[in-house]
Amino acid sequence: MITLTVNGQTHRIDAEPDTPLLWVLRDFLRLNGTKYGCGIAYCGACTVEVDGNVVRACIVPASAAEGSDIRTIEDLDDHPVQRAWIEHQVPQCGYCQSGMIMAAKGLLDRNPEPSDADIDVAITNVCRCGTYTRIRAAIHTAAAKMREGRA
Amino acid sequence: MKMEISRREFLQTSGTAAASLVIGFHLPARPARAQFGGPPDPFVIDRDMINAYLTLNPDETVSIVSAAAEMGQGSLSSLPMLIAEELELDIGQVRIEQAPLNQEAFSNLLFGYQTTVGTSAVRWAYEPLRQLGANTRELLRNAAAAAWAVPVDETVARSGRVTHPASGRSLSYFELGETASGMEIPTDVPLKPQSEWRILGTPFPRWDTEAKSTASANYGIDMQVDGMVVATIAATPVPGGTLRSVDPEPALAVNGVEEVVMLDDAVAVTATNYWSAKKGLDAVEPQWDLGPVSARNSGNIREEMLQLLDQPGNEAVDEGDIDAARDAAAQMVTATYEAPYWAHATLEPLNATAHYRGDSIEFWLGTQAPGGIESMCERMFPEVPTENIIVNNQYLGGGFGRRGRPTPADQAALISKRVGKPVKLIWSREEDMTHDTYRPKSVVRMEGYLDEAGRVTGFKGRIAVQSTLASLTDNPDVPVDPFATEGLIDHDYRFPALNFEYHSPRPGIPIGFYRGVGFIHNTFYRESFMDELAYAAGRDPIEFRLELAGHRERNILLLNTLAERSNWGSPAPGNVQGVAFAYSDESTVGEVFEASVSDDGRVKLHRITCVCDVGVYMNPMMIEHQMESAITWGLTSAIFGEILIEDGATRQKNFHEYEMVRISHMPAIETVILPPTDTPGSGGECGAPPAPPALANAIFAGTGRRLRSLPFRNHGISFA
Repeated sequence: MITLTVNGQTHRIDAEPDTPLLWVLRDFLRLNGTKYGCGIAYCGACTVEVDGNVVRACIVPASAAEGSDIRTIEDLDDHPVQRAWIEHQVPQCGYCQSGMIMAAKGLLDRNPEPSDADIDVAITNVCRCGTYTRIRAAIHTAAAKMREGRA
Repeated sequence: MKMEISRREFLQTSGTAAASLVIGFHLPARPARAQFGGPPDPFVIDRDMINAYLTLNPDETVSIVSAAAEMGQGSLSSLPMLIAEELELDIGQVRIEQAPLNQEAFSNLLFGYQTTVGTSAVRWAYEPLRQLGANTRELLRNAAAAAWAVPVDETVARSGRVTHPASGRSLSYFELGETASGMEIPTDVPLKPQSEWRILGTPFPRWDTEAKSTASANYGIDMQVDGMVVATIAATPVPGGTLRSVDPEPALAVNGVEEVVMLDDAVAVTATNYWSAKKGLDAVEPQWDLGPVSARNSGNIREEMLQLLDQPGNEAVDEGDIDAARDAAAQMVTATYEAPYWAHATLEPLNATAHYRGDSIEFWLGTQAPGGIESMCERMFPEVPTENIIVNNQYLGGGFGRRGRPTPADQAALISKRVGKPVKLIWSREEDMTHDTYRPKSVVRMEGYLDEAGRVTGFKGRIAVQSTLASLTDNPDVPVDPFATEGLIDHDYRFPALNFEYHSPRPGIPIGFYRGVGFIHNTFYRESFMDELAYAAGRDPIEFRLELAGHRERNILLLNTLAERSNWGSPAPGNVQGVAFAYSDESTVGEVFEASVSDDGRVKLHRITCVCDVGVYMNPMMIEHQMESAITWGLTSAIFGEILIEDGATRQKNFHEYEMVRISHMPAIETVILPPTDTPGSGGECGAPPAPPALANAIFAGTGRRLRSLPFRNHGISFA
């Protein structure tokens, strides 16, 4: 049994200890917003937050996340990043966007005013539809809104 | 799903409060290639059936309900706009619902309204859907006129209500539905001229953005069905191979694993969850009979294709006197170009959920071709009546022409039949990358002839490429394959003499449609080669193209706009520019790439200017989206994309061996849409073909190196 705290709720899960966090979220907790893309931490479709850090859940054994504060896309409620995504009409097929949004949120939590170069370094997720120019614009918009919110 | 409904069938409404009037109509069985690189006519399952309906709701909205057609990946996102324009609704009054058709819905059905299926989603939708809206609007006006006993031309339809301004009376469409249901639906109502459009031609947000930004959109891989098991699969690593044996014991020992299922050419493991299934599959050690394709590799496939170029091929075009042009040439340029196999690498790996119940099969998946799944079932499960095949379409995590085949729905149904439960089959990324239907490798040899003034007098070539058309049929001897030569022979250039031949080798590697289809590699060949000719003639590349394409005013406007918007000839200090221009699928696109190239071959893109002529367009924002998307698609193909074959199997297993463009590679893209014409073009693919040659031509401008094969990174070029 594994004990995980996801989006503020604690779950006892009967999964093999080596089961990646991604598959515990999807197959055991039915939190399907976190996506499977590659299984090797390359594409970022599975990006979640673990103790405030941006993490690719497909390579983290669930047992290693016991005792941590795990947050998924389902935990966001009308977040400024999501609002910016809608404003800039970012998604096309949409499959990568949960991971993109979580990666963007993670960047803005650390760096409230990222430059284009900062975005290039932080956002290494793959979008096969090529929504990158809109993602960049949406991150800048969300950053501005979040700074206003704090001011 | 087959249901016979006459062109206009009057049934009694069931009188439910949900809808006062239901009009059935036809949505295409699959989106057109124009948007998705999907197959053309031979693959379309055209049938006389209604698969969508429009309902009038009490809250003054209208719903368009369909499960059969893909909606929301872009191709049909203009559907609400088309309906709203003529039905006189505000755009927010049209709702799109993806739901399976059911008997209850049909019991409420009043009118069978059928439309024909064209080969382009936009062309298909443009007229019939406006006509559906117009006819329904007139029906409702007639109903109001009858109710009030006033002449119909005194009524006005707007925002979901019909009013009679003279008396101030007003009824909602919903309230008029019952009266309308007893009346004949008018046909051939004149459509509004463009000048009166309120909605079409203006930017409008996609209807699925919020769902996709809040993770509430359900993709095929997210399906949950009661009693379902999860499966994963390993099919023969070499196409045509068969499964000899497996060792099920180690798999069955994995916690959560339920069964090991042997198929003719694959082994699957079912389990309570994906990870257990994967661990089980990793342990079964399948033994294969690999078959003759195991003798093929990228090297001998390429050799065979190069040898074919030395022999006469099938004639694709022969216009003018190519021999005379050659004999009279002041200057001749020759070059051989090539491109590799490409994988689709949709970010959502292929998957399908199936429940085989003996007398029915139900599927849940994101598919570009529900009709293809039905035909597969007729072939593989003849015991199941076709009307009991149900396909529940979900969001697609990328299509690009990949999700047009019945696999893996066939595998999921076979496994479900074997284990007697619903099965969600998920391909691992490795299975997905090694079992794709790739864009085929191609090689081409071209000759260009110039006169003393540097004008092109003839363009001749020969290409070898597996037949895309043949990949769709059981007959490998397709006499003419337009996909082999599209872009080489059907462009918008006028050459005094044009001659092309093609060969279709059969190395046994599975191929299929891919965004851009033949245009994407053939435009790289042609537009790089035109650049070579322009330089050989000592002429400016845009001026050179203006001469070739100047027979159409729109082309002149496009190229001049492109030159102006890109500051052609005046890049920022240290930067270089490259241009490409391409017609494909009724649309024309010109792109200028501005880049800097360091001495050691590092390329940085600074700016992309895209000017497109898509004819008449419905939603300019969608066109911008599609251009940005297609350019990125073209760049991944150009810079990184390469699938190699070793002993018949795919060498690349996952994304670390199949890199794709990321945000750091992408500069700002400026898209300019030419003013609309009267005919719709297409938007989904046409931005991709110019991207590889525009970049190659910029690299030539910066380095003097002509990159004649893809991908560029094989030339020591790296991208910042």
